[in-house]
Amino acid sequence: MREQKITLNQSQLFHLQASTLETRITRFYQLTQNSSTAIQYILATKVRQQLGAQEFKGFLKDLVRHLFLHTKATRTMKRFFHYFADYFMAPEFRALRLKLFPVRNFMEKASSLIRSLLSPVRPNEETEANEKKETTET
Amino acid sequence: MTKLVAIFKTSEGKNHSWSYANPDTTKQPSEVKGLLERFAGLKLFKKDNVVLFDTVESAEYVETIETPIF
Repeated sequence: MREQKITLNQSQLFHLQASTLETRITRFYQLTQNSSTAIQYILATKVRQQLGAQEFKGFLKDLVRHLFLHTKATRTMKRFFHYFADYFMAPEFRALRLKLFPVRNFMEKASSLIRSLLSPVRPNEETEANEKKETTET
Repeated sequence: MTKLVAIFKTSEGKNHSWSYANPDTTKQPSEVKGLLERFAGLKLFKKDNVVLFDTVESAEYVETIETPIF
């Protein structure tokens, strides 16, 4: 019941002032601990910023950083993680990406390792072309 | 005053109108479409289990000219 009162609607997200929204979203998170919805609210304000409201640049940076760095990442948070690249320093973002997507990173590393092991035995496109040229010349 | 007016489809297939005042009109149409699609992708607002912003249909800039008469 209480959560219903503190949730925000689309009109509030796109018409309230940045300072008011900052208070409302922070309060929403403090009372509900619902990190998924809080991230979705912040992403909606990022859309608003890109549509023209420049005062939303880096909006609620502390809360976003707290959610990604110190709480358990939910599926929703992972889904929208890449939209918040500008909230983190590049090395911090890479480390966080490793933490959030361990399987994907393992697969990427494994495939690059396999590729590097195969590269010495894989025929080179250039040499193949040269060989063809040589055979046509003879 | 210029407004960005967009039509979204709800998850029931009905039209849902949405507007945003004073947008940056210099944005490329593809950029605006991408932003509205990102907003729709949030599936954030529901009413009676119906997603209000499910897919984006169309968008236009609407300029209102007010002429005082007295």
